[in-house]
This record gives sequence, structure tokens and C-alpha cells, in this order.
Amino acid sequence: MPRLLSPWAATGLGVIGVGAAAAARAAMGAGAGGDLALMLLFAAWGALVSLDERALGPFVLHEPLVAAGVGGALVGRLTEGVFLGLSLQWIWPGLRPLGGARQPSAGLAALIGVAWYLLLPDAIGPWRFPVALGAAVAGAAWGRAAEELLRGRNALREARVDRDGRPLWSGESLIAAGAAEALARGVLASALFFAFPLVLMRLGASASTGAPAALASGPPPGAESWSDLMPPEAAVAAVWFFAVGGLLRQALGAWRSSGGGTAVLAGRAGSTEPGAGEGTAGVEAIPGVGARTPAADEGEREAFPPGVRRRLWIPLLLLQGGFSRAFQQRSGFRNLAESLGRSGSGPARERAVALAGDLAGGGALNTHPGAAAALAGALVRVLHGRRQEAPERPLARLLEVGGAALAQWADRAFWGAGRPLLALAAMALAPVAPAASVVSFVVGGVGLELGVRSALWAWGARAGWGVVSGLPGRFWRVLPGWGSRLQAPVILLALVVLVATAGFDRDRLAWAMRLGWFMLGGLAGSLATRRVMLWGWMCWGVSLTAATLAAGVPGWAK
Amino acid sequence: MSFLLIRVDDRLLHGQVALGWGALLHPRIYLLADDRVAADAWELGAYRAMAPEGTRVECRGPAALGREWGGLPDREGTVVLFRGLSELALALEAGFEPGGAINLGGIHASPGSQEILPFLHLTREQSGILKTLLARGHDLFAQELPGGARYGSVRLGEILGGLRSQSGGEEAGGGGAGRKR
Repeated sequence: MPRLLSPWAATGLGVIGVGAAAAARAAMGAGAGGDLALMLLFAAWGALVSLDERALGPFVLHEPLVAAGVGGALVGRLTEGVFLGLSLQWIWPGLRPLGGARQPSAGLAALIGVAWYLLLPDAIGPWRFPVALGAAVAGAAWGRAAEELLRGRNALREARVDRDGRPLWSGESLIAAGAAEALARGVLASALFFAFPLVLMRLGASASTGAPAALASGPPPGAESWSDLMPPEAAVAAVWFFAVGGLLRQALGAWRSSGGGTAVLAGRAGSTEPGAGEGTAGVEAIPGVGARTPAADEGEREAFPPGVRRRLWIPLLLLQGGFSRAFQQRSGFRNLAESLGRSGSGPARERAVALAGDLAGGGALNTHPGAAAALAGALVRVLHGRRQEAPERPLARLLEVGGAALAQWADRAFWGAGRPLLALAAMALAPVAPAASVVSFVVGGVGLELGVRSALWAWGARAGWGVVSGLPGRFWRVLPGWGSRLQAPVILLALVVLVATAGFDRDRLAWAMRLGWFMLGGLAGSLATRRVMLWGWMCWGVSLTAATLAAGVPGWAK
Repeated sequence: MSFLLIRVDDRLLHGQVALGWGALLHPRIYLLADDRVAADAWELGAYRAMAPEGTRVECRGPAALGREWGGLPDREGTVVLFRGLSELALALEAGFEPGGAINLGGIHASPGSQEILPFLHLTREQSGILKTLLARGHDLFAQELPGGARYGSVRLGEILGGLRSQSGGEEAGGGGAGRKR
């Protein structure tokens, strides 16, 4: 059973599902059979997006721009997919909390939105986009609830293993079961949120009008600009304004909380107070902390068994697959320890097996998934290093204390700086080059995230126990702060690109109406969040509306 | 003068505390009220090294905190972190006066524990401590992150009183009240 439940099997199932459905769609073409294949294609892509959302985070498939863009591309409607994804990408980032809270399922939501947009019957008229957006938001809420349910199921499974001591349920099995359920969540979301309702709607429309019931055989909406997809109705404009407000809040929040960046610029860093966050103060003298120990400085390392790094990448990438409400990443780290045990021999293997045993019956563990790479490197160092540093504490303490300590830095680096910057850059590119924005997001995301994880691994493998004292050097400590500060200008750049590509010249009155609704959206949004934002949002909306109307008077715009 | 935040969290200082609550409250001091950390320079150094810039980390045992809290500087800029309910009870017994509500932010699974909320798993002993604290009139609320579901003293009392049904938070979201692991 464990082999059957390999994490590779879950991932492979999703890939095969997408490939088979795409081939069927290509073979059948449009029409009833082709539309069924299209549904299956979306369901299979939804399964992969769901798996990425729960476990394979570095691949950014679950980012709305990518999920919707690829979803659109799979059915030959890339531009509409990207524009839908762009709308949802604007909405979610400002609402995403730092610190590991459960988030709305933005990726599944984007795919659901694209499916609704492309498959709604023509009778929907100009409400196609708002209805798709509404379905997406509902799907996001459902996805979060489903995530909570799956985390509960993972916890039940782990508790049962603890109680029964089932030998077959290794850490790998637990992870694989979680990954398989993530795939199932994607398929279920597809069935619930677009397959059944849209087929029923299509059949109903066909019965009443006598038109063929084919799902996606109509002409494309013919969008030339992202604004063509947005009718000037209140609901859509308000949602967009709310989203823009969220992004501005994100920019302000990042600016305020990034701390280190300004402190460095202003020369105020380097407090002399003991332990005042200057990083290494108070740590140098701690015996046994190896970041700056002779072994690390001399570059003495390795003697790792060949292939150990390659074998640990899959457990690391799927660490979150077994995340449980009760034990958090315990099964993921147990899987890691088991893999280390399999790749070692002699005392190293015995230590790794002992660690896996400790984790199996131990308490909860958690850190940022990226920081887990540093912890894995450190474990390899401690287990296999030539010097064989004798651990003064149980190895589980390395994961417990190191995980908690590194989580702050990694949360800020990955979720507070790196990922938002990537998303914002892709959003700025999307209105002018839709395909390039999706490709750059995927390539940049995978490259950067895997690159940083790789660097963290290498550092962990040098530092050993020293990982718990944090990254050495001022540069690495303040880098996330600088990344956060970059968000504000990139958000402004994205806004400028949006305005520049808004198609003002085609329908000035519609744009004035949109901006008026933006103001009301901002009013509602600010009352729901922070009153202090109210005046800024109002002024922004009033200025743009006035500018739009003024531009029309002397005939500046056609 | 009350503390900025008093929180019970078995991971003490980590991302949810430093970034989730820290971004909202802007503390200047994180005070770890924990005997294990106080006795282990290695562990205290780890927490100090990874604390957000502009903050500092201090440590006292719970009993010492109970005796010395009145003389602590900058209490209004301090987040106090306890590893568990027994540590909190120890500090209270020793004279610690919270001066405000106490946040239950994360007590995860341990042998024999029962899931009270998704982020609160209590053993029978811990449930007893919590009931006692509530009965003595301490103001407690369970909340993982700012913006998350908040469960006040009354709701916590109801859950501990044996409520077995699904329940939502007082503000938003949902939780699994009283599910047995």
C-alpha cells in the first residue's frame, strides 16, 4: 500500500488527467462530446491546482493569474482567462494574512471563474463577468472550508496511527493520502461549482430557445482590453475598487511592517541593546550553535551519501500535503526523517530512524515550508557530516525550535516579499502581454522559490545546529524588508499600466460611471475595514472621475 | 498599566506572533515566560536571533514573572508569551496581574488531548485549569490571528461545559467545538 500511495502517484494522476482530457478535447472538437472533454479537462486542471494550493506551493499554479490563464489557454481562450485571473489576482493578495492562517482558495476560485465566464449561456449578456466573479468568490470560500475539513481528516488519520501504531502508515503514506485528497478536492470543486450548474443552465437555455446545447461553441467575446470584460455595473466596479483598496493597504502594511529596510536606509539599525534584533547579538557566545562554528567556517562538510539531496526534494515539496489541524507539519517532517533513514547507513541511519520514531508519537511541528529546506539541510549535516557533531539535544528540538524561529524570517521573505512581488510584476505585464505575464509568473516563481529553497538547504547543510540562530549576515536578514518596500512602487506601476490600457477612448461615459461606482465601492470597503482609508479612496476616485470627464470636454480623448 | 498582549502559545515566538500580531500591535519587547527557555541559553539565543528588527526578547520563568511583573519597564509595549496554561496559572498564582484579556493562541495536540478549537487541544488537566481561570473571572479569549474567529470567555465556557455541536466564532469563521480526537 505505501508504494501505491506514493506522492508521485498523486501528482502523476493529476498530470495524466489533464493530458487525457486535453487529448480527448482535441480529438472530439466542439460539441456535446468535446464539451464533456472540456469539463474533464477543467476538472483535471482543478485537481492539479488544488494539489499545488495545498502542497506544491513553489510551482505557483494556484496563483489566480496562472490558474485562470492556463485554464483559459487549455480551451484556446488565453486572453479571457488571463483577464479573469488578473481581476482575481487583484482581489486576493491584499486579503492574504501573513503568519500561516488559512486562506481563501484563490486558485480554485480563478478556475471556477474562468469556467463560468466561458461556459455561461449567451442569454447572460453583459452580466457574464460579474456572475463569473461571484461564482469564483463563492468557490474560494468553499475551498477554504474544504481545506479545513481536509486538515481535520489528516489529524484524524494521524491520531489513529498514533493510537493503533499501524506499521504500514508511514509518514510517506500520510503525506500521499493528504495529497490524494487534495486532488479530490479539486475534482469535487469542479463538479460542484461549474459542471453541474452550468450543464443544467445550458440545457435549460437550450430547451427554452431551441439553440444547440454545446457549451463553449459560441464566438469569443472579442475583448481587446481587460476593461472590455468589465461592464460599468456597480457590482463589478465596487469589487475592483475594493480590490485596489486592498492592494494599497497591502502596500502600506508592507511599508510599515518591513522595519529593517528603512532602519538600514536611515542608518538607524544596529541597536546595541542586547538581543535587540540585530541578529547575532547574544548568539555568538552560545556553545553548540554552529552557524559560526569552526566546522562551518572551514567549509568542512559533506560525506553525505550520494543522492540524498535529490531524494529529499520530493518530501520537502510535499511537506504541506499532510498538514493537519492538530499536528500541523508533523507527518511531513516524519516523512523527511524516514527518507533520511533510507538514504543513510550506520549511525546516521540509526539517528534518522530514531528521529522518525520520536516524531511519530510526538507533538505538533510547524514552520514555513521554505524554511523546512534549511532544517532538512541541517539534519543532513548533523546526521551525515564528517565531523558528526554530537547533538546535545534530541534532534526533534532542531525542528521544533529552529522551525519556530525561522518561520518569522521565511514568512516575511516568501509570503511578505517574494511572492507578492512576483504577482505584482506579472499583473503589471498582464494588460499588455497576457501570455508573457503567465509565463513570467511561472518561470520566475519556480526559479525564485526553488532557488531560495536550494540556497536555504545549502546554508542549513553548512550550519547544522546553527540554523536556529538564523541566517548569518545583515544582508540576508534585511532582504525581506527591502522586498516588502518594493511592493509599493510596483503596485503603483501596475495601477498605471491598468489605467493606461483601460480603453478610455472607446467609451468615456462608461468609464466615468465605473469610477463613480468605484467611489461607492471604496466607501463600503473602507467602512468594512479601516475608516482612515476612506478619504484616500474617495479622493482617488473623485480625481480619476474628474480627470476622465475633463479629458472628454476638450476632446483630448476620442 | 496593562501589557500589549498576553498570549498562550506552545510555539512561543513564531511567524503568527511576530508578523500576524506584531504587524498590528508593533510591540517593542517579547517576554517569554518559560522556565525551559530561561534555563537554556541556546534556545533563548535562537529566539533572540530571529526576533523582528526593532524588538527585543527577554525571558523570565512564570513564577519569577509573577513576582517581578510590577517592576518591568515598558509594559504597554510588551507581548508576554506563555507556553501553556499551566505556566500561565503558575504566574497568576505567583501574583501576575494581566490587567487585560489573555489570548489563547495555539495549544496543539499532545497525548490525551481533545480538540476544543482547531488551534486549541486540551488535556483533561489543561481543561481543568482553563475552567478554573474562567471561574475566577479572568478574561480569556481564543483567537489564532488578528482577523480570525474570536471566542470570548462566555463561548469558551460553553464549549468547556460540554457543548458537542459545531459552532461558529463570535465574529466570523467556524470551528470544531468539542470534537474528540
